Amino acid sequence: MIARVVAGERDLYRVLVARYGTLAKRTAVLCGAAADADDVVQDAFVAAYGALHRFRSGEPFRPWLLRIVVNRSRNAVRGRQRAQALADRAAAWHTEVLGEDPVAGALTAERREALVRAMSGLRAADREILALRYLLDLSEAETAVALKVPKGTVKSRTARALERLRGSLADQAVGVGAGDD
Amino acid sequence: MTELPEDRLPDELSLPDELRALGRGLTVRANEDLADRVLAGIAAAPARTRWWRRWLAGLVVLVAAIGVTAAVSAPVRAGIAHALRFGGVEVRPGPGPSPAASPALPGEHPTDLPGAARVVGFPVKVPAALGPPRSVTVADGRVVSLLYRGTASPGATASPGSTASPGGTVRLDEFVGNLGPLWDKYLGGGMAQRVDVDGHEALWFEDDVTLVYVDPNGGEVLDSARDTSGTLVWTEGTVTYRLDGVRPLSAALAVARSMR
Repeated sequence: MIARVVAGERDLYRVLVARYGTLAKRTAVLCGAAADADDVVQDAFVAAYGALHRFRSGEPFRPWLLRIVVNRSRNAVRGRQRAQALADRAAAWHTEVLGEDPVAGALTAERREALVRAMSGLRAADREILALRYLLDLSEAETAVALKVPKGTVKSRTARALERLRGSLADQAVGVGAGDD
Repeated sequence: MTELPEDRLPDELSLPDELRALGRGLTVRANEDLADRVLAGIAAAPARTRWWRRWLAGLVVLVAAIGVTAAVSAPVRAGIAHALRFGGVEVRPGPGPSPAASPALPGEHPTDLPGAARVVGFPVKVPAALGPPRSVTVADGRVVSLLYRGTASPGATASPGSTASPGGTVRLDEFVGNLGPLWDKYLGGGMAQRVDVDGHEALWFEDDVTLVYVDPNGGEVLDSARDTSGTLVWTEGTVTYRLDGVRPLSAALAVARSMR
């Protein structure tokens, strides 16, 4: 399919956009693009089209595309950083990820809220790797390509990020408990 | 390495599983019109891209503008000393590569006018003076070609007495040329003449010119090399038009002015 898009069937690119659009937008939101997520995703697809000829056939498209989305999301975050306080950024992440009407699943509303709050308090690098690896359920190999790090690094960074998330959740639980007393 | 903490209860989700569940509950979705916007963005990249791409496009436009300024100050009919960028065409002095045995553009395939417009993302215009094309092709997702048989152009009433290279093919290429050259034109010993199509700048190549398609990487596609003569190139907005095979200049200009 990509070979045919490169060969000039530009309309086929719609199929790729439709297939990966939502994943791309979730990646952008989880990587902090917030209100810029739609612009980031659109730009990323346009840039990916321009770079398609460099794409090696046989290579998986998904992580290759997500790498572009991640980079552009980081740029969007940097662009906002001067104007926005850390607390505001965390709150924006929080709101974007939870959405207005989260789909009910295996988690209680309280637990979901706690997880998102803990995630929003992590360093961007920790948040990115947990988001890609678990929230978007990418494989270690895909995460490695999307974040442009070696596979072994994904493994170790994921473990450390999980530890910090666990610590943050425990602090939250203590905080809530103290407040209730 | 295990992802499960040692101390968790058997019926409890592991933290990774909780995060996966959180991910499955996300409601963020791509906008309905994302594909339309992406394709429009591809067709007109400088119009709505991030600042650095706009900056880059601006630089390209500036380079093109310098080329055009140089051309304006040159004598009306003069050889071109260095490469001149005009729309999506770069004109170079000196001989070009040998023509290919059967020149073709990458991925060139037949289509119809609406199909071509969908692929390239800009409205494809047709010269009323030539009427509907005999065939339409699209190549590389960005070049539309309208083909006419030179002797069979009964609609060419707008240019009485003109000859549309009897027996030859008339070809009109349309492409967005503001982002980088799509064609290299080698002048050999020939000349280019600056003319005007309804207020739009144009170049007329009376003599033989070697035309080579330039792919999006900037590489010349040698299989596309062919010799042309009697070529009018003009731009309108971001679109560059290239008319081959209609002579003399007055006839080519009449065709160009009849674009609808």
